Formats: sequence, C-alpha cells, structure tokens
Amino acid sequence: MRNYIIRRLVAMPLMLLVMSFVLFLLLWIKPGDAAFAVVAGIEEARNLDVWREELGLDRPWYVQYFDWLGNVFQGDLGDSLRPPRNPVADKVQERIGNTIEIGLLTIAISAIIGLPIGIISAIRRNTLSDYTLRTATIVGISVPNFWTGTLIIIFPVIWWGWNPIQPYTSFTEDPLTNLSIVIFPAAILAYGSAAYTARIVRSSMLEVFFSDYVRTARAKGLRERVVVMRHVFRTSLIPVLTVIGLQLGAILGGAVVAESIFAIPGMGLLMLESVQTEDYPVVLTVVLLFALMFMIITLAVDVLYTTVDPRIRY
Amino acid sequence: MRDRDNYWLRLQGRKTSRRGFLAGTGVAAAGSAAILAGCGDDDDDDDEAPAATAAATEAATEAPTEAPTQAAPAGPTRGGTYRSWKRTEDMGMDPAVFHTDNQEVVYQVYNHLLDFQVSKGTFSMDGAVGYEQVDESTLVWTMREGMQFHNGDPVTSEDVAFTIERPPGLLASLGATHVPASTYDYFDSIDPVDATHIQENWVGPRADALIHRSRQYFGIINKKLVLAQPDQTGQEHVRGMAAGPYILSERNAEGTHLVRNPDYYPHPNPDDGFVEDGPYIDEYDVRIVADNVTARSLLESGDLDAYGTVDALEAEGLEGNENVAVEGAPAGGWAVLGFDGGKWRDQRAREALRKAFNYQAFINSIHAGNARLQAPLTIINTRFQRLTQEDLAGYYNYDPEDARALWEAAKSDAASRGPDQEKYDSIYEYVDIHTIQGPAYLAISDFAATNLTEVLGTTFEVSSADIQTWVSAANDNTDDVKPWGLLQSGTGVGGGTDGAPDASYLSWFDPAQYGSVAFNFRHDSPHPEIAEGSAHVGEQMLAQTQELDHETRVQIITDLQRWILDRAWGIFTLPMAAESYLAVSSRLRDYGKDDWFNAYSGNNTPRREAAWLDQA
Repeated sequence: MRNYIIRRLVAMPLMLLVMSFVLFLLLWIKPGDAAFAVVAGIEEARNLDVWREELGLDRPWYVQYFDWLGNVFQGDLGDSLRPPRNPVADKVQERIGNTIEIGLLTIAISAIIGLPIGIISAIRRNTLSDYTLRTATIVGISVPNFWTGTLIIIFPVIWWGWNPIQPYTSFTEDPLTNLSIVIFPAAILAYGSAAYTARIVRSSMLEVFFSDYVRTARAKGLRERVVVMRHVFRTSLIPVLTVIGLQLGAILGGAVVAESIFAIPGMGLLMLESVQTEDYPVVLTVVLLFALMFMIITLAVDVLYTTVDPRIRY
Repeated sequence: MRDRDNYWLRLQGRKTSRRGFLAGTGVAAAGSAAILAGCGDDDDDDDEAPAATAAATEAATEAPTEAPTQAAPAGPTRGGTYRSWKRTEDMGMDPAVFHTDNQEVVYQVYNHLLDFQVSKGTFSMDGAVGYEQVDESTLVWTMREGMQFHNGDPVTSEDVAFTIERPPGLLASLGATHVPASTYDYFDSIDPVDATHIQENWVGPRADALIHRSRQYFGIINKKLVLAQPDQTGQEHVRGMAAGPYILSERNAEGTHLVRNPDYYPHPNPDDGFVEDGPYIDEYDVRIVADNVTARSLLESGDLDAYGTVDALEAEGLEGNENVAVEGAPAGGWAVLGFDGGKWRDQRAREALRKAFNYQAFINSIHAGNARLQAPLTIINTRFQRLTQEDLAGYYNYDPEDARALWEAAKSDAASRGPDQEKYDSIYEYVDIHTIQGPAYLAISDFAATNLTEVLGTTFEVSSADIQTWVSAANDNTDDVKPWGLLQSGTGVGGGTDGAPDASYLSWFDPAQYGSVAFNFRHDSPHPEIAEGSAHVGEQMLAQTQELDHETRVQIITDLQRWILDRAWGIFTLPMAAESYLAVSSRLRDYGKDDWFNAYSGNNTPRREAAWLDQA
C-alpha cells in the first residue's frame, strides 16, 4: 500500500508538468494574447507591441514557458499579466477558500441526497416512488448546471420578485449569511452530482440484490434493513466511491459556471476571467490546482477501496 | 420602414426572448427527461414512463408580471446606496492609465475641472469656476478655491497642472496608456500661474480641448501622493489621491464600495448636474457580476439601480416590472462592415457592396423596422452633423443590378492583373465576414452574408470568434492584407460619443487611428489609391480638430463625410437602431438619461451629483 501511494505521489508532479506544457501550448496557439486584453479593444491597439514587451510576450513561447516553470519550482507563481499585475498567489489565496467551500458543500449535499435516493430507488424498484426518483435523477443528469442555475435566478424573480444573489460575505465574517449565499451554487452542482450517484447506487445495489450471499443473509433471518445496509449497500459502494471521486472533476468544472452565475469570487470565476484575457500565469495556476485537487481525491478514493473491500490490495 | 411582409423577415423569423427560450427548453427538458426515464433503465425490468411533473411544466411556462406602480417623485432626497455592476475587476485606479472597469472610481472619487453635457452641448463647472481662451493656443483655468483631497491636503494649482500635463510622461514611463494621444499631443507646457490659475500653452489650436479636460483621464490627482508611489502612478489607490464627492472604502474581488466624502467642497450656484451641498446619494456599491442574466435578474428583483442598455426585445420583457424603469433615448450605436483596404482597393467593389445591401430588409429583420441610416460621423453628434437621412438615403440605396454590374467590372479587371496580385484580389472569389460570437453580431453577419452572396454571386461566409481573438484578427498586421475580407463590428444598438468628432465613428476612418490599425487604409498601402485617400482623410481629420470656428469646422467635417460616402471609403456603415433603451431601477431619478448613452461610462452613472434615489 505504502509503495502504491508513493508511486502515485511521485507521478503527480510529472503529470502536472505534462499538463502545464500542453495547456501553455494551447493558450499560445490560440490567436491573440494578454496584450489585447490590456489594450481593451482595437481603440488602443497601437500600443500592442509595447505591452507585449512589457508583459514578456514578445519572447519565444518556450522561453516564456520555461521562465514561468523555473519560477514555479522556486515557489513563485508569478504575476498576473492583467494590470495592476497582482501576484497570482495573492489572487488564488483570496479566492480558493470560496471554491473549496462550495466544493465541500456540494459533495456533502450530493452524498446526503444521492445515496438515500439510490437506495430507496433500488429497494422500491418499479414502484411509483422509484419512477419519480428516476425521473428526477435523469433530469439532474441531462440538464446542464448553467441552465439550472439560470432558472434558479430568473424564476424566483418572476414569481416573487426575490433574488437568491446577495453581496458576497465570507464564512469567517458571517457563517449563516455565507451559507445562505453558497447553498445555491452548491445545490445546483450537487443536483447533477447526486443524480449521477443515485443512478449508480441503484444499479450497483440491484446487481447484488439477488446474489447468493444476500439470499443467504436473508435465509439467516437478518432483518431487511441489515441485509440492505450491511450486505448490499457496502458491496455496492466501490463503484459509488469511484463515481463520487470522478464527480469532483465535474464539480470543479461546474464551479466556473456556478460562480459566474451567482457572482461568487472563487477560483472558477478567476479562471473564466483569466481565460478570456489570456492571462496564462493565472490560468495555468488555477487549472493545475484543480488538477492537483482531483489527483489527491482520486488517490484518496483508491485508498478508501481497501477499507470498503478488504479483498483489494495494492 | 415597417414592412414586415418580406423574405428577409420570414428568413429571420420571429425573435425569441431569453425568457421565452428558457420556458420552451424547460418544457422540452422536462418532457425529454420523462421520455428518457421511460426508455432508459439500469436493470432489465420493464418500466412505465412517468409523466413530466406538473411543477416542472408550470415552472417553465408561467411568467406572471405585475403592472408598474410608480409613485410620483416628491423631489430630491438625500441618502441611499446606488448599486451598480461591472463584469470584472479593474486594471488599476489611475484615471490616466487605464479606463477598463474603473469608471465608478474615476467619475465619483475624482473630480474634474468641468463636466460636459453632450446632449445639450454645455459645460458645467466643477473643479474650475471658469476658463479663458486667451488666444488660439493659450487656455487659462481659474480653479475653485477651498477644495481638498480626501486626506485633507489642499488641492493646489500645481496639482491641477500636474493632472493635465502628466499623460505624455505616463506614456513615456509605462510605454502605453489608455489616454488617447489626441487629448494631449498639442501640449507645449502646462504652468501654474498663481494659487488659482493654470495656463495651458499649446503648439497650435485645438477645438476640443475643453471636452478633453472633462474626460476621465483628467481626474484631478494629488501630485505629492502620486510621486511618492513606487511607480509614480495612482494605480494602487491611496486615500488622499482624489478630491471628489466619494471616498473609495473597499475594493476587492467582489467589487468596489464608495462612501460620501464629508469634506467635499460646495458648488455655489451649481451648473446642471451638480448640487450646491454635494451629491444626494450617500454611497456607491459596484459589484462584480460576470453574467448578464444575473445582473438583469438583480435589476428585476430591485437589487440593482443601473443595468445598462437593452435592446427593444429586452425592453419589452422588462415592461411591467415595478422595480425597473426602461427609458428610450436617441441611439448613437453603430454596426459596420469594415473593408480590408489591402483587398478592397477598387472603388467599384466597395460601391457594389453598398448597392447590393438590402437596407429595408435589414431594418425590418434586425431592427424590427425601427432604424436609421448611419453617417460616418456619429449621427447623434448633432452639433457637427449636417447630413440628413435624405442625404444618406442618396448613398445607401439598394440596386442589385447596378451592384452586380459594378462587381463584375471590378472582378474582370482583377482577373487581368494576374496571379501575382492574387492575394489582393481574393474577394472576388470568397469573402470572409469576421465577427464576434454573440447572437446580435451573428444575426447581422448572417444577413449580410446571405444578402451579398445572393446579389453579387460571390461566396460571402461568416466566421466568428471570441472578443480577444476577434481583436487579434482585426489588428493582425503581419501582412498587407488582413486575414478577413470584411470585419463586422457593433450591433447598431446603444453607443454614443463624448461630443468630439475625434471620439465618434469618424475616427474609424482616420489613418492615424483605427483606419490604419484595423482596416488597412494606410499611408504605406501597396495600392497608391488607398495611400492617397488615407492621406486626404488624415489631413482633413487634423484640419477639423484645429479649426476653432465652429461653422468652418462643421463644413470641413461635412465635406469629409461626403468624400467618404462618394468613394464608399473605408467602412460600410449599416443602419442602426433609431432608439436605445436604458434599464435602471425605478427609484433612480435625474441621472442624466440622454448623456448616459453618450458618456464613456459602461454601466456606471457618469458624473452627475444631482442623481438621487426615490426611497419613498
């Protein structure tokens, strides 16, 4: 197990390195650069070359990349290319807490909603409650979160003249107000995630419901609740764990949309702004941070497998 | 102009509002989910397809509105917080460095010597109490006494002189700023004469100097504090840099917050837009909202005081909301198809395009029948605009047969020039209309492509890109032809001018400005006819801005417009909406509606201390 974890941890920086290289190339290939964002349109385009020089964009791409990489290895994430050119680390520090909070809340809501729905749907398969829950989950999976988010904003205004968007307040400032703000984006992201989890839980449970050992458990006279939770649910957890881990990627991606719709100053919104302005030091930092989070979560999920299923060995 | 029964209108179809679209897709999504639930399965059991929930259907189709219940305003009252929005963080707080997303600070935190009311053509005194044009190259300001910066420092004539003279220095030290060179390239020296007088000495006359001084770049700044900064700019705002009616209290990733300056100077006998004892509104709150839909919903729920311009369809959708007031004003918007001067060198080709364009169908289709023809000079710049709609109709007339004949003649000559000129003559085979991704831009470009292909017999196709890529393509000067054939810009809705012809669409033709940068109408063009024409436009642009006699200046501008129209020069201007709509909260009063459209101010109120909030 220890060797496995070490191997995975060693592979992480290499994967991040490859990702940063590919990402940088993609940004470089795209027409335009951060200087265009600085000159703010064709009005001041006469200043483009000056700004390219000022921002170091006149250098060959590999010089720009390795310069950035060298600084990162020394713990310096660089400065944003967009004036007033604040350090990237400051920008990230200012916002990362908001995104992590939304992410954690999303996972929590997703698990709280998704698991019971999946279990109920499996236990009461082909009943009215099963159909209703499955309809809800299919809506959750098929409807994109930007659309749900937009509806959550538009319809309350139309019906009640009320808007869920409030001026942002951090958790440390006022936890209750903060939760009343982040609950909406978290709920929207959680809806899709929970729907997916519920579908997987249902199908996984149905696969083991009629297996021999479950029949044996029933034959021993165990109560149905014990059969379901101890024998069926636990066995079906492995695919569920995988899905929850993978959902994190979707949640981080969804944060871009959710934060922009709900005006929450998080990493997602920062990435959106930075992609639009081709601010590559910020884009690379945010994407690599997201990737790092994703890798750590998937590693944690892999480790959790051994707890859920003792037969699994690394 | 309301002929709706035509091919183009049918082609375009009835426009669908965003809300209508959402409602429709809501029903479709709910229905699709129901069908999927019925078809899909995780096991082998048979299912019955559940019906779409009533709630989902109801949610998607019900959109009640209430009639507006606006009470008559009782008169200006003090207090309240003005709530606005912007898309992203600013690029710094120095008014003379950048002007992106920091207007709320520049206009409310800084004061200026004077304010220009574009719609009325009048100046209102602010930091100055008067000025004297001593001769054609000397201007003397008399500043208001008793002004002080937010840290208590007195505003001196040295500060004012520093404010005016510093853009060239900033350009030298930073390499680039957003301050147009035309606002200072005529300076000889700026000198404080005594405690209250500042003298501008110019190398030659400049007709728009007063308007320039009212622009954001010349927000009066504290010389001592600015020079104490490491970069000697006000990019990082320090309290005391400005002397305006509001103090910057908070600025972060969530937005900007301003509070009233308790020591703000009075304006005895105030000019229009000012109040003797300072502004009525107590605080400004500008939030960062990346999404338009979010901002609009904030307006509708009464959580925003200013949204900005909306098109006619959106205006209709906002009717009946008691939190919202939608007001119309003359539009100064633009929509253009810019020629690549590297390829559109033949005047016949440009004229062919102008004659091939079906204006009436375009107006019906894109502007629901309510549009005007646009002149090279922004049409609402009434102080300088002499061309009437009838004059313009003489140039913009749809004549497909004539268009085809002109096009074929130009094409025939191009064919005889041989393969070495191929890159300059590619438009006769294929024209790429390059535009910005967005429904309004695409609708305009699609119309043009369909219309021009049908009439001219050459393939016109639309390519679109995000704004940065589009700007990149517009400014691509790696070759003496552009990577596109026609550059589409603007939607013909909203827009404006600060009142100076140089800051109107006329500047798009100017080879010292966008004419060269974006549209390839350059002095060094490989085509002599383009180079000579560019030189003429440049000379006339300079002549008009140096002419102090208004009537003579108007004549120069009118002659230049006719010269442009006679040659179909540079940019093909499309019809524009006859009216713009501004969406604000129903409690915002006296905010200078007509100048809002003209001010270079994004979603923020321009300098208007007389604005107030009806909180009754």
